[in-house]
Amino acid sequence: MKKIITFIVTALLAVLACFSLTACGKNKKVEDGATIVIGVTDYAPMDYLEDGQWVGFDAELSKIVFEKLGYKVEFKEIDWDTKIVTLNSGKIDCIWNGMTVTDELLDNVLLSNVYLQNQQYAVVKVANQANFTNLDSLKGKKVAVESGSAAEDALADVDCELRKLTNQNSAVMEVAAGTSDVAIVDYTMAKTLTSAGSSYEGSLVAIDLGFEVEEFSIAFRKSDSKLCFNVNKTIKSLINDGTVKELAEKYEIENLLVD
Amino acid sequence: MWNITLNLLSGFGVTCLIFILTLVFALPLGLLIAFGGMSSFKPLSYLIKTIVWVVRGTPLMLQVMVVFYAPAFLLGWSGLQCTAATVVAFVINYACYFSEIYRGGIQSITKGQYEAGQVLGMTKSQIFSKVVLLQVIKRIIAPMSNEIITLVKDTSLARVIATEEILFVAFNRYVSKGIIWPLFYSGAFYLLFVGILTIIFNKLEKKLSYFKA
Repeated sequence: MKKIITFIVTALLAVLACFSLTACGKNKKVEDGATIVIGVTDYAPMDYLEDGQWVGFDAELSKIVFEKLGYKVEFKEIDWDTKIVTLNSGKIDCIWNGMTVTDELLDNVLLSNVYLQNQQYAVVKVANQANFTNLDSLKGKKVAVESGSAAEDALADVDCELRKLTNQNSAVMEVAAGTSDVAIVDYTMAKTLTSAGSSYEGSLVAIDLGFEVEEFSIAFRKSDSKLCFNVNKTIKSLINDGTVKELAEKYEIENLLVD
Repeated sequence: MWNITLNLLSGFGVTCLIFILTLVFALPLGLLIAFGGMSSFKPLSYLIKTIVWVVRGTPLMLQVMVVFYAPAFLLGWSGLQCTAATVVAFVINYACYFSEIYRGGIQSITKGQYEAGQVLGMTKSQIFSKVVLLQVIKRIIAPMSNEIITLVKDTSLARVIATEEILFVAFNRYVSKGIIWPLFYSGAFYLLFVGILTIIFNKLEKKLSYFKA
């Protein structure tokens, strides 16, 4: 018995020792002129695949910015749930994918200046549309959100029954299935999922309940402060010369431009 | 529809690749682990038993993540590509499960058969390869087919590190755009694959039932 206990304790200590060493990858720095690996998901209109190529507002903007700074660009599809781990492990060098700033991100990664605005929208069944007009209409309702998302943060003070799912699609699917009354997701997501070509077209509708305006940002490793600084500077110049506005018009999200 | 089928098929190709590579490496590795676990050299058998305990005692999804991320965090090495990392994790995991099936099969052979072999002047390895092994294969075919069919569907766990297997394609190309039906359509691919495997295993079982009267 004693042997077994000693063995288990040793095993646990070994595992702990492994975890305490998990700091190395975090300090990785992108070298000048290197290839920057951008972590993305298939998320129209920000980053999406068309004939095998990554296009979209973020895909084009990121290419322009990094090429101006003398980097080569490679897009890598990631799992959104583990984006922070993927970034800090060095598998990717930044996350540029219509990402809303949350407390979790602020704690773990370095965030760029805001380059687009975001707002949470409600997705409900067309038949229930009339019941949802403002934030108060969420009271007592079954509300589906992505766990750890900006929507969850935004609903902290609302008295409703939260269903925390792994991603925004699942939240919207809950509404379609009837297992939740309403899903709170990003504006771009709400629009994509209720527009032409979606299975939900005509049955679900996106509504503005008056959530506060949020911010889209780009994530870097904390060790890449110089890179982040340069990206901020470049984006500012692209906003000033109208390139960002042009791109936003191309992808029909000009309402998200920062004033 | 055709386009979606093609896209899902390319994802299914990755699924099959993971499946085949896992079998190719895990089947022999499992046998080695089984021998190690039964070894009379105690430190080796304890080590193997501990490894089997850890691998069978933790979720495969977690193991996939560890193989993919741990080299990067611990050594600062960017590590394996996602499909390679998936295969490594799957091989280790399935080899451990296979090893227990092998062990069960090997230990089910009665001591009398070993003794009979010795009496006839056969060496240890002759006894194993000429007497024991064939009976073991016969006996483990049912539990093995069970495990192998589970493997087909476990490949979907590779999604956690964004390996582009069929379920990843269904979720990230279609469900993310509000098109749900490809998700259920992808189930048909698994069903077909497992159907074919079931037929193969049934045939194999019949072919190997030659000792029965």
